[in-house]
Amino acid sequence: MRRLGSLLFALGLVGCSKSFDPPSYVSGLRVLAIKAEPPEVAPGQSSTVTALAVATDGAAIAFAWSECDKAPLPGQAINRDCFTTDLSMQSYLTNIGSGATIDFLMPMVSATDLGEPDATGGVYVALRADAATSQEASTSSYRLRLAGPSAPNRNPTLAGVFQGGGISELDAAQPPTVHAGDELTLRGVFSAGSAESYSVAGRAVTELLTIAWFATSGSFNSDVTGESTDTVLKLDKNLPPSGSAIDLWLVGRDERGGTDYVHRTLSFQ
Amino acid sequence: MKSVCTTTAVALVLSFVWLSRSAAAQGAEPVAPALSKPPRLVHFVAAIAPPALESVKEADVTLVIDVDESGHVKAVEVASGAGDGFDEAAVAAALKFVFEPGEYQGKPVPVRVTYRYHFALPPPPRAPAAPVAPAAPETVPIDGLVLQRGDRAPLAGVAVIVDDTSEQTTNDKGAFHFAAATIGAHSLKLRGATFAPFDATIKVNAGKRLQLTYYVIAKERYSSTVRGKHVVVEVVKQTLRTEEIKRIPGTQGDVLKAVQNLPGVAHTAFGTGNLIVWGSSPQDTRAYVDGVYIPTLYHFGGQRSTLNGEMVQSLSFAPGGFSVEHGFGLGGVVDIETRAPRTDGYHGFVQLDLIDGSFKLEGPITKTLSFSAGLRRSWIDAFLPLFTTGNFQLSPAYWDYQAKLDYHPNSRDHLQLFFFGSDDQLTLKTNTFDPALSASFNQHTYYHHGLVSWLHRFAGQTTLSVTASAGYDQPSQANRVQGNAVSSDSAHSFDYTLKAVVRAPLRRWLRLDAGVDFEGSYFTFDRTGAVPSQLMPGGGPINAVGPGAGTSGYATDNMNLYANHVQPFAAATFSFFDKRLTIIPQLRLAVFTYSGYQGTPNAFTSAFIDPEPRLTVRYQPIARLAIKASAGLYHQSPRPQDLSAAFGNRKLAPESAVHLVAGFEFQATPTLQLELTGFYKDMRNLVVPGEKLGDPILTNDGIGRVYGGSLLIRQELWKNFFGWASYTLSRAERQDHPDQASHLFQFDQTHILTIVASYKLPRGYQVGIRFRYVTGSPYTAAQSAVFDSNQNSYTPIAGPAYGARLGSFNQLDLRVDKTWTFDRWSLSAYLDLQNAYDAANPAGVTYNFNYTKKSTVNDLPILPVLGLRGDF
Repeated sequence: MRRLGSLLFALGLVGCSKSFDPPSYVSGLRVLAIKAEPPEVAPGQSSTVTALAVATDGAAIAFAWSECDKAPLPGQAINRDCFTTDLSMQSYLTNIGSGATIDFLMPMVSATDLGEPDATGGVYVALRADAATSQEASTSSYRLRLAGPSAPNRNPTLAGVFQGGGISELDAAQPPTVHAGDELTLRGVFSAGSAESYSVAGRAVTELLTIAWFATSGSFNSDVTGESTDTVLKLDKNLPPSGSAIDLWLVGRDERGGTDYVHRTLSFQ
Repeated sequence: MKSVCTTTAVALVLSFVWLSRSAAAQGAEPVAPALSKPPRLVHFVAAIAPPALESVKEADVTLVIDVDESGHVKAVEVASGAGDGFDEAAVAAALKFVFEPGEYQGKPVPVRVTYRYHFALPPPPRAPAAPVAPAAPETVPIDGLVLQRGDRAPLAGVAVIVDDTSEQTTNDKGAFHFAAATIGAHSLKLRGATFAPFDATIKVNAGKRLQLTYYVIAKERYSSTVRGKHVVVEVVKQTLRTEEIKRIPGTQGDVLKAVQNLPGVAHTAFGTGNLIVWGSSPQDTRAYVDGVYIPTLYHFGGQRSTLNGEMVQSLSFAPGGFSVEHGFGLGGVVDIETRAPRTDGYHGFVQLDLIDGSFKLEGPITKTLSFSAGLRRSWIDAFLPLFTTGNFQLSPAYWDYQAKLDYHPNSRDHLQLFFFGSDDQLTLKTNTFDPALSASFNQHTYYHHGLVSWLHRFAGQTTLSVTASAGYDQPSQANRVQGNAVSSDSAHSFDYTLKAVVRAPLRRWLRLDAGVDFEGSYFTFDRTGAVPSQLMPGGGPINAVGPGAGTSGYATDNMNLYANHVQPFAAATFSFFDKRLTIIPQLRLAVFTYSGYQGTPNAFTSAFIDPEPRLTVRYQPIARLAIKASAGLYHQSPRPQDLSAAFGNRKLAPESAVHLVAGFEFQATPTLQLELTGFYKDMRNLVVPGEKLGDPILTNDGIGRVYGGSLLIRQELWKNFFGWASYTLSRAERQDHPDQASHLFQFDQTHILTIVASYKLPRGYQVGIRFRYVTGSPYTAAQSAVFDSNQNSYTPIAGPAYGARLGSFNQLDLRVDKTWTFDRWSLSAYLDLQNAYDAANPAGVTYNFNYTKKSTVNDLPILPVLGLRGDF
């Protein structure tokens, strides 16, 4: 019953609280995604890790990357000690580079060193990215999957962004013109084969692909969509001055750490 | 026919209750079920009417009379006087009354009687008889019934007066009989203290027996409250009568939510009714119905108890320091006693409100056997879909039932067969435009229990009571689907209990109560999903009610567990100084045994034997004042699922607590009490999540400490009014692991103030108010958050465990009841207005997506609840 009460509470069926800006609204310093290429590596292999970070005020963003060698406790995705600000506990952290992109060499670890497997049967090495401008700072994490006995995971690929129910593709070079109050039906499309099949606990499953939507203006009726499904961007708030650009990002993910992203702009009049 | 020729007309008993404090002084608990035999006035003394009677013609004086076990009057107080010498005259006469004592289960007990003494001038002298009677006039007999209007309950002891010259008194079936009445018109008067005077004219016809039935509006039915069922004194125990439970605003007559208004019980948000008693977790407080544990207290969302309040005779609540007759829990004890079926005909009710509907039927089968049966079904699932969108479906449904057979073969034996059960189903679906992102949640819980109890009274007032029960429960069953992620759990339990108690008064100064309390179960648990989270020190969620756990760490478990706990107990009650000093040393041997995963590599057995010595002392320096204290040790089994090899720890030991309680109670008037109590609880071996990697998922590392005091001023039903004010000041702390700092308990509430009042108005109206002020509960605030790129979400980083506190809670609830009484049935309607002034009470906090902003989530706004009920 308490679980149910919490559920109802979370769903907003009871009680009242004020609403916040949705996660899709980008303002200030935001890390929108971290992508590793490849997203699953064996010990001794390297992967290129890139942070998709935005500072809407145009400030320069500095990065500090570290690897956390403290395995998660049961029920945790990443051990909370990986994010401590307590210097005495930062011995768990190993500096692995700076800048938006780094090359990371998977340490010689075994699966048992990395805690319990997740729902997809994988274990991960935890990476921490501290991004900062002169005004703001934020901490992000990425779990790089340790290669297992199955075929390694590959990043999904976002093939394009379409408007009007998949009728016309948003051209990165020629942004469409939009106005206050416009409602744009948008769809992100993955390349064929992006959703891979894998096995967990003897059960064959196909990856679920999701797309997270971000924009510097307006709001989406759904901040996260599935493969080949629509969302609507309503230009109803946080509008820029006329003649400005509205930035639009799509971040595609699979369930195993695979990531891809694209950037588009809209010309606001 | 008996003539009426005194200057005073005898009034009848209004109501009677067992003498709470005097009974308690003799080692009885303060509250008990209905008397098996009411007191009866066998020697009436006419009062000497004061001269003022000549001018006022008639007057009434309501008295409260204390009658001892021998039937003699020990004390008389004026509850409602008439002045002008009437009060003194009535008291002087009543002091000379002699009663046939009231009995509980065949044993004479002290009783408090409310009695109305009616003064009236004698009727004018009759005209002289005619000198010659030509012939004897023709007569016919008159038979009649006097029943309470509305529910047709027979009214015994009613004076039926014909022509102011002949009088008969109704028997226990409400019947009266006049052997001979002359032909023609006669006046008929019904007189009794329980209803307004009733006058009528009857016409007697020649050759025709006259049959009469009168329905009169009774004031208060006899109400006996709860004194003396158990022999062992509880140091702190409050009892609510059915009339009180039904009328407390804001509870909709719910039996368990009524307990939340008593001292020492914390407030929970959204009216969920969880019982958090003296800083204990909700599962630490155990509720019993007729001595059998209720596995699930509430239906969907915690808005309704699984036991229909209409079945309840009384409810007793001990927040701590309770006697050895109870065990298995570290918190409080709620004892619910169901009502015996009525034997005066067939009765029942139908009730409807916005959430559910229920009915009950009861009556006699034979002279010694009676029955009652009730059913309740929600219909919120029928109309809730009207308010939910196609993308969000919520279908909660529940039902419960109770059925009882009551058998009194003779005066020494009482058998009872009682079945009760409850079923809850909930389906919740969120459909997005992408099926892969849709989620569903199904939950189904139920329990079905049956009990048989036997009470036998031996010669010499020794009694033996035996209660055995069996039941089948599904305490949890849920399936959750979120995209590819599936989790499920399914628990089943076959429960069996036996409790036998012998109560033997060995000497005038010594009584022995001994017995055995056995609870056993065969428990199976199949679960797939995330293991319990170890989010932060304190184990609490990052916001007061929000989500928290990560999703890694999936496991599957198929558990079976035999848990059999045999706990013998004994208490010796020593009474000294005319029973003003009572000392009760007690011992309970808490034996817990477990055998799990039989036939698998995880097989284990364990046993724990924990003596539980307890001591209770009560001293009454004066009649109205009692000083009391108790100390005791208590143990509680881990939840069966906590012994899971995959999701818990098979080596968990029982949790333990020491309760220290002291205080006093003062009986200001026969119905007004003041009680002050201090308490301290030290809890050890509490089950908490493991601290670090490599630890078991659950350990017995937890420590708890609770201390505080409570004040209760309570006016029992008196002159159509009842109410109480309770205030609790307390602090509850937890320490999750020995090397960690202690923190506030999740429900620590420094101040809890509750004021409840209800008043019955003329014309069937009753109004009530409830006001509450409670300090806000602690919660763990997020101090920052980390973006999890894999899951596109932010993970909060907790601040100090329970280092923040919600704002205080204050709320006023109002209730109005209106009853329309017809001859053979009655109709009631109520309006329960919760949060009458729409206070914005914080119930939790919620954060924006990256935990940089937070907002308060408020408790329920103003909420009117309408209900309708018919009784017959």
